[in-house]
Amino acid sequence: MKRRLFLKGAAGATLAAPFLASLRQPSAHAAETTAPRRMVIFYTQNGCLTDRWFPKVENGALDAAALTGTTLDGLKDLTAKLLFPRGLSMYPRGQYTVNGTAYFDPHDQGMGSKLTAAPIDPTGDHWAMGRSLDHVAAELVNPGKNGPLVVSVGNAFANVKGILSYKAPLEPYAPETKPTNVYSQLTGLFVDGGAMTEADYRVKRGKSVIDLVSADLSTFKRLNMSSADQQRVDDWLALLRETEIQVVTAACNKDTATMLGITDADVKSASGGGFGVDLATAFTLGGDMMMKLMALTMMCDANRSIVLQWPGFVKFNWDGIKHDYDHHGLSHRNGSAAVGGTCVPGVLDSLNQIDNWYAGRYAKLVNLVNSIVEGDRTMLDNSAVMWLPELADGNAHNNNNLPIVIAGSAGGYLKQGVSVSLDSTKTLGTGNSEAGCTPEGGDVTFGTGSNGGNVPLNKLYVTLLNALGAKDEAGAPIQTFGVADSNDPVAGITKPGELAELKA
Amino acid sequence: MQSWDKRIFIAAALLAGCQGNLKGSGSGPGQGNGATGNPGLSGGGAPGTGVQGGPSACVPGVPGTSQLPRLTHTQYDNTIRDLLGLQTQPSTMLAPDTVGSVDQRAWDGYKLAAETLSAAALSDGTARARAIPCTPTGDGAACAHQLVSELGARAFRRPLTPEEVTRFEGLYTDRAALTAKGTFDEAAQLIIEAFLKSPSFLTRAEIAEVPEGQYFALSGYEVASRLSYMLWSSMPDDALFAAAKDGQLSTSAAILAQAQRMLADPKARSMVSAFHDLYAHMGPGTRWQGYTRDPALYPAFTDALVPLLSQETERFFDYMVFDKHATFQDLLTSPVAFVNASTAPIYGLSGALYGADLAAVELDPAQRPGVFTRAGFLAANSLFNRSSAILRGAFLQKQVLCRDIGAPPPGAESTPQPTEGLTTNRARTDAQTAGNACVGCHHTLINPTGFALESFDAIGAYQSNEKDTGAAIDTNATVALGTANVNVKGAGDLMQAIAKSPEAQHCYAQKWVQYAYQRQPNPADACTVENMTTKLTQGGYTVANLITDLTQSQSFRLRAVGSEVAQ
Repeated sequence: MKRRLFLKGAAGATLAAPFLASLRQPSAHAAETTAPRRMVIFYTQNGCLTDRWFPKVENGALDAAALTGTTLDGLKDLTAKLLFPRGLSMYPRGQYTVNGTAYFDPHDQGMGSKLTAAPIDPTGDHWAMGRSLDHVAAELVNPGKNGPLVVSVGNAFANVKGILSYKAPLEPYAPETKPTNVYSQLTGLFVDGGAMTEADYRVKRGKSVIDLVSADLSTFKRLNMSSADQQRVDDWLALLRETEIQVVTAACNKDTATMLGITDADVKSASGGGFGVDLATAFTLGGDMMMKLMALTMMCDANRSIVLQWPGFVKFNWDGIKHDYDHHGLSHRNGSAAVGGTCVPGVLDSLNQIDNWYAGRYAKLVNLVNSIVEGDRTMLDNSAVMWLPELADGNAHNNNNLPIVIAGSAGGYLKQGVSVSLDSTKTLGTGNSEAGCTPEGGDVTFGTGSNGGNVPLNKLYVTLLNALGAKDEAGAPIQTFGVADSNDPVAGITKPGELAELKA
Repeated sequence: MQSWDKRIFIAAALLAGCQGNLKGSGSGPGQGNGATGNPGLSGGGAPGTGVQGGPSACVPGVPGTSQLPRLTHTQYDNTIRDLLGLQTQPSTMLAPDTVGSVDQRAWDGYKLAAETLSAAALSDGTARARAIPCTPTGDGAACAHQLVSELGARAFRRPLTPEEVTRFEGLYTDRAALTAKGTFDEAAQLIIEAFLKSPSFLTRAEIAEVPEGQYFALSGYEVASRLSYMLWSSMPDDALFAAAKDGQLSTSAAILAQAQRMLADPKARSMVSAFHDLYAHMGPGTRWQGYTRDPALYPAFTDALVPLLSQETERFFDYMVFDKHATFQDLLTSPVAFVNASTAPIYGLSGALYGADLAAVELDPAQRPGVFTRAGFLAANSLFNRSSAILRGAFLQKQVLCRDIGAPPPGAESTPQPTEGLTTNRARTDAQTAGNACVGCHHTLINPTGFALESFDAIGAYQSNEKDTGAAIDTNATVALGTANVNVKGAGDLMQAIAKSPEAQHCYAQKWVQYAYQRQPNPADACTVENMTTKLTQGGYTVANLITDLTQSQSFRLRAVGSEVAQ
């Protein structure tokens, strides 16, 4: 049954949360009357069976038939709100050198370079050498300039293979993995029954604690410290001043949470799982709860830049799927991290099961966001919910001709109901994921990728930033994103600008 | 696993000087020894001369360090356990450990944890009794004062200044405006929340500025924290606070006595276990997790075996260090193993003799000396359907001998192993690595080291013939140990040789210094490492001796301001 949730009060009506008035002049955002626009990135690893994933129309209007029988069959009734930008490729990738040193690992690049469009450091921990899209977007469009909401389902590796978000070059930003933490931080924003005034004890309490913490830090400031330590103290003091400000909507309350299926008990039972503990709970209940919390975050307008990561090294054992090998091993076709050899029997069916499972989660998220009425539209119409993959085909480890879909038009900025081919020189095709393996086994072949589809992903990101309403320092639309848009990290951005073909 | 730990261990392997002395140009001049003459290592011994009798004289120094290192997750959890009696793993609310500035995510995590823990401290009867040392009478101000002074001193790990006491008492005075109903308990909760959000709680602040030479001497309370966080990953206990209060932590001898007491406490065991997890590259996110083996070749392999093989290794290290008072050499050569019904068959023992719990056994010391011939290490460093001489050899060279081998060229790991006309894994491995870019490191350093362990298959069981071809397995090899080339007949010879080698001892000492001091190899710590290496080589120097000696260096008692060494 489809329920329509309403944002209480006028569209975008905001209420000042605890510390706004006392610490800062009311900002222009408090008077905003149009709905905010948000970007949500749904990120999966190990690629997919691309020939089953892409819609049947490569360049043109979409109808239900275009998605029927594909991995995204579950969204065939919502094609009017979908956009497939075809022919995109992640850069930089492949074998390049940085300062004379070479390092190549397609998974490290697939993670590190995907949202940064920067090379990864060939030395040390191989962190990305750029700032990621979610942080850039958060800084430009979040009213409190707070950082993005980055979550992962289950646990996440605290290394380059588990990190998607970078707050600065070489500074990884780890995802939140516990639904309880996301929930607790949201409940702290809840307004129950009306605006919070200065006289409220919670306002004064917060100020008092900040005063004590600042006094503690000020004592440190008086010491004869290294410049690195002085920086740490200054940064902490700055954080106290800036981030206690959070403007939320009238809809940000416990009733809304309950309507979304988020209660203390629900959150607790969804948070029990994790790697090595109970992955099934993490992926089923935990994943669902994360998506609901993301919807609540959007309804609270607590964050307009959201990333949901699904880890890659997992063995599926839920929702009717029971595999003997983990997803990564299956994507290599041979059941292990090695390359080549013999296909695991039935591996394509196993991968198809996984792809369908993720497609189901994506559809659930899209439908949830679409079920929330926002003014004369839905919250989906005011957002861009993008399914972005680590790789195109997991065996070929290729990052061209990427399977990407965007649901929602970000407030009417993006085209809807179409697949747009950005590489007009030839037919892109759907790749060759099913080559080599047979139901009984077969030999793994390296020809499972595809050719063509090399328009830089950077340009899609520029388009998305503009769709969110971001502006550069001069107040003009964004022109470039990332460090490089080719396989030469030094060449920089050679093709600036957004993708006009995607604009409504 | 804490991210800084991994960084330290990866860097250690790449430091070219790891095999011998670090020529000290140091961050502190040689006169830093000051009045004590020598760094005062237990058991005497002059400050380090070169281990191999070559270029000598490391220059002792104290490296620049941050005065505000934040509690790591482990330290946070343990500190809350000891401070408030709550064992709820609150670090799950925190952002991952970093050494940089507190950012949005980190601050949100600290706030959430402080609010959650302070509420729990008041709602749990036992915790409340522990946190609030008195029963409020009259207006409650006297008890509030006592709460602030006593709990504050434990939370900040030093007495509060009069200004701090006044500030925190102010929360009590203003409780009507700051809490819902203005009760004593609500005010107490607010005070605890404020303590837990304070940098003086969240960091192990080193702020005393008493000069000693060109360094600063740590205060007694700061030394107490160094001791407790190094050995227990937690706050000082009452005995340490009392010793600090009485000014008794200013000499190396007194510090050593405390360290010995603390190492005997059960709280020290997890620190030693965590070190050896890192030493063996065990733990979450490593090769020791989540592997499978070919069911056709290893029908007895199950997923349940994997964690058991980590546990047998951890039991081994714990038993050797604490029960057997082992030396480093013992770790590599002891015939002790821990088995249960599932793992016994791997060692050729009958599973029927054992239950579900791990029990100590003695294996053949010629075939199975030490931890690197145990199934845990061997199985983790294998592949789906065969042993891996490359993984085992590379690990021993890089992580046990600290040899700088560098990274393989891009794409090397996908080089297929040729099998045509080659009947042993050994021959196939050499063929796989015969290319120009590979042969230098592989044929001289990596492969031979691994070939000596070819008598153990992909689950660590003994094998004398290849499973697929039946060909006999040859484990004779010429292994490079530092500058020497040693002929070994197999695993037994190899482990004896590594255990004696100066490189392996230096490597072990270096890793302990890095782990205990939480910083990368640097010239200022070189003498500490050299001194320990000398003692390790002389024999009779247990791992426990080494650990307590970590408190005897200059840099344990003094700090330097300036460019920080890498962490």
